[in-house]
Amino acid sequence: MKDCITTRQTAIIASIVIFANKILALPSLLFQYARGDALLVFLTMFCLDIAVLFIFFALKNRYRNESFFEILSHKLTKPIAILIYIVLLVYFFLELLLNFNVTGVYFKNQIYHNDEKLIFMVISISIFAIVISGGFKGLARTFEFFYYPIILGCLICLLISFFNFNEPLILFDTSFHNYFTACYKYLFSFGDILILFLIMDKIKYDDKSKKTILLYVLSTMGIILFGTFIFLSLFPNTGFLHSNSISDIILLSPEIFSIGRLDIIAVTTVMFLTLCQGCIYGYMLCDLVKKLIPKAPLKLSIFIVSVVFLTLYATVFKTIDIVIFSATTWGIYMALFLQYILPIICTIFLIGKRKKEESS
Amino acid sequence: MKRFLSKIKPYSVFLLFFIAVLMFFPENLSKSAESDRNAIITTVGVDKVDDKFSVTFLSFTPTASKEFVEVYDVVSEEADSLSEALRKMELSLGKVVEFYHTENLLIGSEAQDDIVEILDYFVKEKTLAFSSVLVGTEGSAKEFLTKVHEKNENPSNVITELMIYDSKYIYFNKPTIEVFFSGYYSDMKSSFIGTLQLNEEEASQENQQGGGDSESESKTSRKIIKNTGEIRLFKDGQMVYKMTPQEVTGLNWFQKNITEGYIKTQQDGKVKVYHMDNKSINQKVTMEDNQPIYKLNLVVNIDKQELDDGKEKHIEVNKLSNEEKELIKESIKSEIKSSIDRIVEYKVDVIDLYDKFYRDERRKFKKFLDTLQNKDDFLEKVIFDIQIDLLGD
Repeated sequence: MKDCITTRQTAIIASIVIFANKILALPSLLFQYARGDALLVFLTMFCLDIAVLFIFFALKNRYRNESFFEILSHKLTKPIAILIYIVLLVYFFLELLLNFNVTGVYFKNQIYHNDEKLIFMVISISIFAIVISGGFKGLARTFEFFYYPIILGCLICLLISFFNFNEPLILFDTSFHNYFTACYKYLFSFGDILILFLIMDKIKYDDKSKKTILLYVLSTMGIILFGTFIFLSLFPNTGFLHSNSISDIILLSPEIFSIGRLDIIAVTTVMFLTLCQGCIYGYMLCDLVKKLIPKAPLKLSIFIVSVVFLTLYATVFKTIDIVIFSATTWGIYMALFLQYILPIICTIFLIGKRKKEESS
Repeated sequence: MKRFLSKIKPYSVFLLFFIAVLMFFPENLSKSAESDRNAIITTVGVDKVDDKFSVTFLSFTPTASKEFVEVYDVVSEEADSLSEALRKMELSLGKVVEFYHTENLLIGSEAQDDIVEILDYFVKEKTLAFSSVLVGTEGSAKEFLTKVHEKNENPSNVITELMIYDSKYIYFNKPTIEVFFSGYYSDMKSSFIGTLQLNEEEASQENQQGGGDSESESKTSRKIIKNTGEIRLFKDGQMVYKMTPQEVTGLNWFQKNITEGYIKTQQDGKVKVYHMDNKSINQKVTMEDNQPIYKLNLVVNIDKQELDDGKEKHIEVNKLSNEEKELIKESIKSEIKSSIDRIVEYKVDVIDLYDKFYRDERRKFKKFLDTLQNKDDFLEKVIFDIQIDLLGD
């Protein structure tokens, strides 16, 4: 229990990853399929995430000190566990690429304008490398520092946009096919609870932990749902034109011009979020590399992850369209397996263990 | 070397930061100021001349000065396409054209039939803000901008203020690009733009006086442009009708946020003007026997009456004669009727009646729409039931 984080820090990590990819482009992308029902897509996927969270609680209760890798190795044999961890490695690379491309385009529009996105990547990766090298505890403390400014920033954006609010959105307007397609196509952007499984051996867990984590997760989901509700209500016909939802909801009013550019609040919030999310995904990748190459020190895994990420970014995943295409095609199968099928397999382990205990 | 490395190891973070600064600092130092590389465009005007696009910019140039002086220039270029015109503009300005500070987009009368193409280009390709104010001009946008620039120190602000003031007190919705697109992409494909006109009388007077007493006086004159309250209605991106200010006022009765106004009555050639200081509305849509019914309940508070000599007197509604009350109600009803007649005639649902029915009576309304050959015809079938009450009556 040397490098363990507190329950509150765990809850903050869960909360930060839930924000990932959901407050910029996702509402607009979902709108193209489901229009106002994009809110229901969020609601459905969050319900699934909460179900997965309960599976995590049950798993953590049963296996207090074991890591996820150990559980998988024990139950499914080590080669299968390694195979799953390789899939996880690809999954988190794609997750990081998606996150960085979406925010990269956002920052390019809002701040950098003409500068190269690659420079932004190199600088960000350097920062992440430094933060990650401080260890998991240091990382968690950094998130504690940034968490409340992030929440405050989101709430201010929602509050400002609330004054532009006119008519509530129209729900149940699309066909079930469109709604289901939206859920399925953007599956990759949900299921963030998966991260908790991977850090389960690094969490101090007691009886109150469940309540605390649930409170943070539900609050975050509430903020995202409220933001999506406002976005869809403000842009009932033009949602597909607004790919930076948190910024666009506060910049709708022309009066903004007389009091300056208020989107600095949204930019700062997204900046803090990107920093935290990048660090979490970066750490996850380094941890996965360490699991696959047990003798590699943390700094070497940071180096490997940084080089692979930048190479992927500079060669294959050059544009946001390629990353979104990957996440909405082959990424779906990976997400489906890791986010939902793997927790179901875990549930089978739990049932098996309970039956074994009962019979003994 | 080993000793040196172990000594600097605790400061590795600061060293990395220092190296990053060293990498970017000289490059940024050698760059010219951003305002020298990028043009700051505060207003864009688009015209169409003989199938060619003419783009006019009101460009702001920041200058170092002890006095607070804002220097604006009007620059214009013409080309077969918007992107070509903008390229030409960059060549003539010697700067990159960006729209991060653009507050207004002016569309000249000839270019208004291509409004969707123009907006699409500026918003999607050039990231012009959706909250930018959209203005239609009576003649050419270039001429409009040139004259406004001649007479105002800060022309962009003057245009924005005139339009935003109106969005609160005259128009029934904000005249922004977002609102235009929202209407265009709605089921009824109906949208509008507000218009500004050059005040020709004022311009000719100023010319006769030789530009005014002093440079500063003529530069602060706002009278060169005026907002008559007129709007242009668009159906599927094409302009179909110029709505008069009186007809626009008629549409304002449907809006909750517009609570002030004047009511004019006429009897035996005698005109009486009443000031409305507040109003509340209650709207309800129902479907009865496959017939859409729109019920509007208006409660109007009148506080003043304008007398013949131009003075005002406070009035109490209960002291008005029944005849006067009926005249006021009739006046409001006729205003509303003339506006409704126009939106029905041109099938332009700018007050979102379609959405109201769809939201409140979806199943019955869909069934009703199925009976129509064209859903655009739905406005013709709506029965408007308007009730007016005077507060204190």
